[in-house]
Amino acid sequence: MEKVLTVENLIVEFKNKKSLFDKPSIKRVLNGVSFEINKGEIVGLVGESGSGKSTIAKSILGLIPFEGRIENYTARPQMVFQDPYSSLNPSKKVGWLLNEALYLDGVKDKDIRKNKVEEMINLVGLSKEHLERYPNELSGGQRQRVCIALSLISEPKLLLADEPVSALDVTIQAQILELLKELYKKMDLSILFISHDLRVVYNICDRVLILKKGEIVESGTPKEVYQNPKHEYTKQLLDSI
Amino acid sequence: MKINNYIFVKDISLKKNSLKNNRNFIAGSIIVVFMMIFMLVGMIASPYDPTAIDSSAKFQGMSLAHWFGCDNFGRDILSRVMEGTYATFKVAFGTVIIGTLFGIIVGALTGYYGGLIDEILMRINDSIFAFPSILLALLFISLLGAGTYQVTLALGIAFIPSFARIVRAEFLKAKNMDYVKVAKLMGASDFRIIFIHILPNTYTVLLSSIMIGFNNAVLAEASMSFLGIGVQPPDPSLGRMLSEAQIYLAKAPNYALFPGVAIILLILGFSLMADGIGRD
Repeated sequence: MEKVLTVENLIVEFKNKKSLFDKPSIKRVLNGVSFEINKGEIVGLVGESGSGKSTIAKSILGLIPFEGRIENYTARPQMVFQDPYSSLNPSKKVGWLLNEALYLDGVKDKDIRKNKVEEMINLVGLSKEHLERYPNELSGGQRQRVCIALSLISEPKLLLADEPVSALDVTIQAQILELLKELYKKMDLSILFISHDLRVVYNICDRVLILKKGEIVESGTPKEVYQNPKHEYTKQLLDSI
Repeated sequence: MKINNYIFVKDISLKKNSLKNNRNFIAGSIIVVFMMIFMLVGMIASPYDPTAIDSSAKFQGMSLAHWFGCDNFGRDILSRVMEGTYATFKVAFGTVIIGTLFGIIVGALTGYYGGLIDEILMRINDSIFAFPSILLALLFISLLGAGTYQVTLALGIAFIPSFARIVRAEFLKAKNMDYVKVAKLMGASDFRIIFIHILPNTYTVLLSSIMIGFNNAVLAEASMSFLGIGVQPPDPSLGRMLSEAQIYLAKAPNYALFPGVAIILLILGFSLMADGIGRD
């Protein structure tokens, strides 16, 4: 099968230095994580907060320094962040943001950009009028739709979704998940879906990785993992539902 | 964090909608517009030449011919206040422009990059900040010589640190927001992120500090000219007129009154506007 991402023995350490002459204390956040994502797959990454889920996403995107090997077989993966309130620039209109993403992606023709922006906003279930709005004039769900549009407008093949629904209320959650599924089919995506909520992951993912304190303790299809958990930690997670 | 973001977002929405209903802002704007018109009339149709001496009109009181009266050389005070307001405004405006421009550059670089650049620039900043701005300006004047442009430059440099600090604080806050990461993922350069993505979000804070800075600059110019190192005679400036008027305070109180009122109106106007912007 064709791979879109290989992560091998990923180690991330944060150095914490309190003052100039302090001996830095080292905290190991990821301890040799390895996994891969195949083309057209939705992989769920589950773990409690502090287990290093977001750190994995950030290292894949090159936002933080890391050790180990990460190989991206696709150009410029994109990410949907958890908090739709801080991930949209409050001083820019939605249309401006989408246009900017295309411009930075190298689309120099204005008319092509304009058409693409309108197409994209429809694709995420919003209308043309929303392009003229500022982020604070939108609801949480609408904002997350804009974030999804923003990350997908440059047509990446790999999308990292970092708890994309956990800041939203339950009815909106379902809608956003539905939208992600739909776009996944339409745009031929592979997704790394990060969540702390096993229920959300069960419905959407082909494969699940369970992360504990920077190590992957269990992996498999959702059915395998849910019905026959091998690791103690997975059982605890399942019990907490 | 989330609560902070919300307030941050709300600030901007209100700026767009409610300045129209903001009484402080409206009152301030009216005063500022009035002073601008006053200044413009002085430039286009000043009733007398502000430096023309008329020995027969020495210390003439307020009259229809000389609305604000005449000074110790028989010069028309109204014309001089008009011209002086323009001189003071020019210095204050230049000061704020120099201070803001370099303040933004220093603040943005230190706030966004942090690390060594931050340490070096902010320590220089601190050392400038440690001196009172008047004292610092006096030092520059002794190096550059007295005059309008020298005073503007000196005050401008003295004003950089306060702007730099404000901008730096805003950038520190913004650089950890997800929208900056989103911009990075889009492939935006640092330059683009700093000036196009983050800077517009600092406008609310920056604008009110520009207004406050303008006030301080008006006062500073008045003090410098009062000390005799700012605008040089016979050109009028509000501070210079005050300093000349103090000898004749008992004989001709109107001489001190009108430049004083002009300073007060300039400052009051911009303070009210700053207050209005800061409050919403």
